[in-house]
Amino acid sequence: MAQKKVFLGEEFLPKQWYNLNADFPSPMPPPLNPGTGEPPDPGFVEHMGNIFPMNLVEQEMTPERWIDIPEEVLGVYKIWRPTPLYRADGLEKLLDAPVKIYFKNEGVSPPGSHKPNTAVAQAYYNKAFGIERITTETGAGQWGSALAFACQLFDIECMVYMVKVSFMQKPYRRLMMMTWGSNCVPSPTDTTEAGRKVLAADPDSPGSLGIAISEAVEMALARDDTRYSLGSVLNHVLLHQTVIGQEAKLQFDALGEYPDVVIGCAGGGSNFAGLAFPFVADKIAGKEVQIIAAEPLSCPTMTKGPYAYDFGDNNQMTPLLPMHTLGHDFVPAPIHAGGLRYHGMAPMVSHGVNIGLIEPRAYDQIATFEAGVNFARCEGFISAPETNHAIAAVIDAANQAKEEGKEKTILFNWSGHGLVDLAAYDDYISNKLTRYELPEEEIDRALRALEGLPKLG
Amino acid sequence: MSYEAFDHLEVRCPQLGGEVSFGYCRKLGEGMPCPKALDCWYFKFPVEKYFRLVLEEATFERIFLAPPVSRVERLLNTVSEAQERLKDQS
Repeated sequence: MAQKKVFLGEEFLPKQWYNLNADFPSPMPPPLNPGTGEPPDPGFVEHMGNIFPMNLVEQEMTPERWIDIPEEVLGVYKIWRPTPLYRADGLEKLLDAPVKIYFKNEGVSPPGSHKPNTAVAQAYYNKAFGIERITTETGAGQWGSALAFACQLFDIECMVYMVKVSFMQKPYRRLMMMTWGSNCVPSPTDTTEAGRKVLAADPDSPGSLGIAISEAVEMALARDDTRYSLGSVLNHVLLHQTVIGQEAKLQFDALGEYPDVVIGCAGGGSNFAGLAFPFVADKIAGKEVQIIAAEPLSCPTMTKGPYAYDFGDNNQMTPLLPMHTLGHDFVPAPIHAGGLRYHGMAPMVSHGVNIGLIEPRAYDQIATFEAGVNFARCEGFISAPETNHAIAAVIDAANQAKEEGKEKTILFNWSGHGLVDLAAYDDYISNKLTRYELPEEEIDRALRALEGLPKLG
Repeated sequence: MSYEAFDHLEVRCPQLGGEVSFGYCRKLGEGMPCPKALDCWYFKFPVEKYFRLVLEEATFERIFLAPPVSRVERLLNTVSEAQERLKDQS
């Protein structure tokens, strides 16, 4: 019988974080000043230092390959790390492909996802810098709950601005945050100028992530003892997640194997980077490994970047074609000299895609839930909806191996459980996630009705 | 009907991690659409056609065709705006 899982003893917990930035074969383009389009240095450091503690700003820009993990952080990591590596032999049987499938189970952390890998580190560095309060924003609450958990352990006050529409819809993560002692409020609030301005225009505003970020940032700037925290995208966030991939490499060593394909789902990029970056380092050093970032087909950023829209529907014969399009008369904007920049994606992941180290793939929402349900039925674990994108990519890679008749070992990041996202599974199981919800005649009638109306803006 | 014709449709918002209605997305930013609305809704109905009918051409271009701003750049912008607000307050 094949070994089902590999545990590592606490002594194998990585003692350093890995910084891929030190090994990129070409340097990352710098962030640009939104006003001028020019690199913002030296204002970048000042801006970042206003909202983040300087020890994290230094990590954000460090060229060092390895950063020591403080003992205090390791002590907290030990609550759930090292996380187990599982063999998905049930899924292998279902797929009947010549593949071995392994997954790193990040759902065993107290908040149920990979997010505390950086939340704990950020809480520690804020505390070490003398910060007494951290603000952040959260959508569904995965990040907010991870930060609430971490702040409680380091005795820091945590203020979470949760987008009101999610606050009303998603009580469970809000309750997790409150259980861990943080103050979770529905944004917009009347505690900030940004919130008050929105409420003055629309007292019933359901909020947005942009408003919640504005509130959290404003609150961080208003008090010297307060800083802001972000759970994805930034270099130091990705850095903290690399314990995942480092542990996975040790676990593969224990098995005497090495993956041919490494897969993670990529929204902001942090869980993907956490597993993949240590393997990207091997790839840069000459190892043959395929690295795949899986994203949603609706709202794709890497596969159909802002300058790479499809023009397939020129005749508009199939207006509901499942294809990303900005229309037949879309004129592409000029490309930044620094390469493509993807909405919402971590710059290090964008750079990895741009220089061909990482392959992005997009998956349809229905296919991802189908993959997630199959996984749950084979392996028992119910995945977070985002994690299902990685499982869809695994199934894709396995089927490709079957077609090619090649044996492959696939590793993916099971980034979190979906036990507080079951409403999304309900939508899938009860067939609410259909692609076409309106008959074409009804769409045409509605669009015709708009033709005589005054235009907005 | 009219502007609200598609408001009841729902998709999963990749930013919020939950279901939102088109009515939410079309007036997210101070009454104007989320810049990602074309990307998220194209497979439900001809959303580009909808916004070309509903918005002034310049507004459509400003929201949907502007060069993308990365999350880091947007964060720096948010810091500058918040500093301005706090300065005005004091």
